[in-house]
This record gives sequence, C-alpha cells and structure tokens, in this order.
Amino acid sequence: MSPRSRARTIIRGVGILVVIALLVIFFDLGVFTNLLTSFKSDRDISSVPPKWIFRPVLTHYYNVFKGAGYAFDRYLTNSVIIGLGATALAILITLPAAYSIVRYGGVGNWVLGGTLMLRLMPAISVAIPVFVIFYKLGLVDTRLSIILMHTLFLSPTALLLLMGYIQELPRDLEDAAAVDGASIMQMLWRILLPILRPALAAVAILSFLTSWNEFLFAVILSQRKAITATVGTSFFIQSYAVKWGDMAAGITVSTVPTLVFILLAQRQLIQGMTAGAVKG
Amino acid sequence: MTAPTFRKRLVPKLLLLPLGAWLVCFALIPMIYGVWLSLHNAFIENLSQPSWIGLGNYVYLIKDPAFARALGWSLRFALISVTAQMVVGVAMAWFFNRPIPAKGLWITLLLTPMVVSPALIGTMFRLLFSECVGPIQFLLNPLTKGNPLLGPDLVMLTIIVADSISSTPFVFINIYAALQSVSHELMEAATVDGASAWQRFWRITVPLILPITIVTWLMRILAAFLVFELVFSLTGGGPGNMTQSATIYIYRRAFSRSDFGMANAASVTLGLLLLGPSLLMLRRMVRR
Repeated sequence: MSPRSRARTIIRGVGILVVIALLVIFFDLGVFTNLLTSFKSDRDISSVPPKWIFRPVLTHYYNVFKGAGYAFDRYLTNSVIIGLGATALAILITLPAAYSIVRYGGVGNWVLGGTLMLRLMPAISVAIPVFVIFYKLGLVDTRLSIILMHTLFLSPTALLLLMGYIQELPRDLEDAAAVDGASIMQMLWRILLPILRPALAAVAILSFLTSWNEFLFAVILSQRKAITATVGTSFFIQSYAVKWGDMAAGITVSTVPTLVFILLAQRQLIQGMTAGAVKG
Repeated sequence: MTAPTFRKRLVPKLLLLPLGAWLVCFALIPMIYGVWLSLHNAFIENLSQPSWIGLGNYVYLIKDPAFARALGWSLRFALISVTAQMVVGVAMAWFFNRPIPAKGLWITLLLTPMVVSPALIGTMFRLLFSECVGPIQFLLNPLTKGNPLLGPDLVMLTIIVADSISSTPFVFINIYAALQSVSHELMEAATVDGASAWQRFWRITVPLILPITIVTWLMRILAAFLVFELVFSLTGGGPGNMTQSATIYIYRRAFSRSDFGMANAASVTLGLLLLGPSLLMLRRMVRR
C-alpha cells in the first residue's frame, strides 16, 4: 500500500470513529447521565457546575424501595403481573386467529384489517370511553382493567409477527396430520405449538416490554392500587419539591428490563418493532 | 352437508372468535359509546344520565381556539420532527451500511433509546434539562445563553430533540434493514456492467428502499401527530398551554375538567381527521 493511500485509510477510519462517537453521545447521553444522577448524593446533584466524578451513593435506590413511602416495589409488581397477563392473553387470542387468517383467509382478512387499524387509530379515542365504561363497572384502578386493554394494544403486532412465522411453515406437516385424521385443534396444539415455540418466545418478549412501557392506558386506568412502574416514576415530582435523585433511580429501575432484553434478544426485538414496515 | 365438512368450515371462524370478540368488546363498542357520549353533556357527576345536546360539543369545539391551536401544534410538531428524524435516520443507515469494526455494539447503543418507554424518556429529560439541577442544561448553556431548555423560547425545539432521540432509531433500523437486503450480487453485477456508484445508488438502491422509506415515514407521521406520553411527562403541555398537543387537550378535557362529552367529541374529530391517512397506510400494510 502506498503511503498516500494508507494515510487516506487512516483518515477515513478516524472520521468513522468520530461520527460514531457523536451519534452515541447524542442518543445515549440522556440514559447515561440519568444513570450517573441516580448514584449522586443530593448535594452532588444540586452542585453547580454538575459533577461528573463523585462518590457514588445508594441512598436513592434505598428510598425508591424502602424509604419515603413511594410503594415503588408495588408498582414493579403491578408491571410484572400486568405484563405477564396481557402477554399470555394476547398470544392466546392472536395465535389461533393468525393461523386461520394465513391458512383460510375469508372473514379473517376483515379481522386482520380491524386489528391493524387499531395500530393506526388514536389510542386516546378508545381510552376515554373505556375509562367511562370501566368507571361505571367499578373496574378502574384494578390490574384486570389494564391487562384487558394491554391485550388489545399488544394484539396487532403479535398478530403480524405470528402470521409471518406461520407463513414460513411448510404445509406438509399439517397435511400429513390431516391425513392421519387429526382435527384442526389437535393439529394446532400438538404440531404447530411446539414448532412455533421460538417464535412465541420472541413475541412474548416484545409484548411484555410493550406492556411494561405502555403509558396512556396505564395512567388513565390506575389511581392508587394498580399503578405501574412506568407511570409511577412521575410521582417523584411532588407539588412542593422534586426528588431528582429518587426520580433518576426510579427511571433506572424501570428501564432495567428493557435494557436487559435489548442486550439478550436484540434481533427478535427489532424484528417485532419494525414488523409492518419491513416484512415481519 | 356432512358433519365433518361442516366442522371444517366452522373451525377457521371459531379460531378467529377470541380476537374478534376482543376487538368488538374493547375497541368497537367503546368507540361507538364514545361517539354516543360526544353527543351528550357528560360530566363525571351525571355519567349515569348524560343529557342529549346533539352536535353542541362539536360546535363548541370548532369555535374553541385552544383546540385549533392544539391540532396546529401537533401537525407542526409531526412535520418538523419527523422530517428531521427521516433525514438523520436515513443518513445513519447509509453510514452504517459498510463494514465497521464492532458494528453490532454501536447499533445496540444507538437502538437503546428506542426500547425505553417514551414516558420514561420524557421524565428523564425533564430532570436532565431542568433549570436548577439539569446537567445537560448546564452543558448546553454556552449554546442557549442561559435560556431555559423548557422555557417558552426553546421548548418546542427541546421536545423535537427529545422525540428524535426516542424515535430516530426506529427510522434508522427500518432503512438499515432495507439497505442490508440489497443484494451484493446485484451491486457487483452492476459494477461489472460499468454502472458508476451514482448510477448504482439511483437505479438500484433508491428503488429498493423507497417503499419501506415511505411506509416508515407514514407510520412516524401518524405516531408523531398523536404524540402523548413524551410531551405529557416532559412538559405536561406547558409552559401554560404552549406545548398542548391534540392528545393532551383531550386528556385535560377528560381528566382535569371531567368533561367526557367534550373529550369524546375531540377524540372523534381526531379519529375522523386521521381516518384517510390510516386507511391509506392500512392498504399498504395488508397488500405487501
């Protein structure tokens, strides 16, 4: 390689690194600074100029869980229960529908259209009447109410993803099972379910995170008992003072599941989040 | 008709039943009830017997300058913010579409904001941009000349930046996936045939990624127009009503004033406004 082209390669490499560094700073400065703040003592938080090197303390994490009466552990429990419940229900209702739409079409296409329409329409125009209905039924501020609505909210993506997976399956298996005299239900249960297990895991992860992150239904349908972690973090802003450190710790705790999953299951997550634009 | 064929025809429909029931109970019926409520004077006190006022809520709504301002704000926000996100996202996808050391790690880092709830991103930046303790406000002080990031002058820009941090990764990964699917063989064949880099870009890359770019743009425009949790947790619509989006207007009608008739009238109006673009989008999604 001539010295000139080598110099050019080096400049190019440095240029690429600079661009990457700038992008990472732009996109991650918030999450990173928030993490730092959560470990700062109250004095370090309010110091001017802000300290970037400090003695880390765990006070805020202690406050979030034990001190100061936030009941954040209950919010986390609610988030987990709601996430698991809505995920299970969403898969339970979309899996048979996905199979029916892919293999038989017909009425199914209308159900598909209706479900996808949900993803595009303003959620608030469902949320407001739902609040009134649930209020009259005495369901507001129960985990059940949020589970029911999250199931609806999760079903478009779950349906699209499951349809994509089922489309890729060869029909031979099903035909063979049909020749053996298995009913459609037996076939779904004994053959399709085991094959689809990895796909179901991917859908489950994405659904759980979507429910975990959901805000609109969670904030409208909860008052005290059913508050989720994502909604609960805003409670650190009180009328007389904002508990910045506790808030940062609360945000960090609430983002842990999402961060864990993007490290462990990035491919599946991205596949799910982009389903509908890119072919799922 | 024999029993087995009858069952064969029934089962596919039965399989649709649970999802169909869910759609009817938790989406269709609430929406119809919402339309019904929008024709009534319905406050939390008289929810059991709301009084009929016909199109009264809609008439009031059309005359209410705050509603028009909220719609205008959402539209302006969606157009500016999504344009910025498309430009940056496409540029990033183009940039990453080459061999780069440790690319997987960088992509994970860049996608992180996408998986964090916009509500948490909003709360997070409320802290980091705060006038009194926000470290980022401090870092940017030389640029903003001490103007508060969440004050009247800069708040729109601040929300756009926060939304871009949360949503650009979605644009990036969509376009990047499309670029990656452009086959190397095709590119090499074109090179062998003497196509210049410019020609390859316009004749091969652009036509292949254009459909996905348009769908991504439409999805983002719809989502940005309906922005709620990010603005709700970052500014709550403030200072004053300056950043009141259409969704926040509806939320406040319903839960600050408990005026459910008006809130439903506003959300029905919003739904009708979006019906056209949504159906367009739906056709693209189903047809593929």
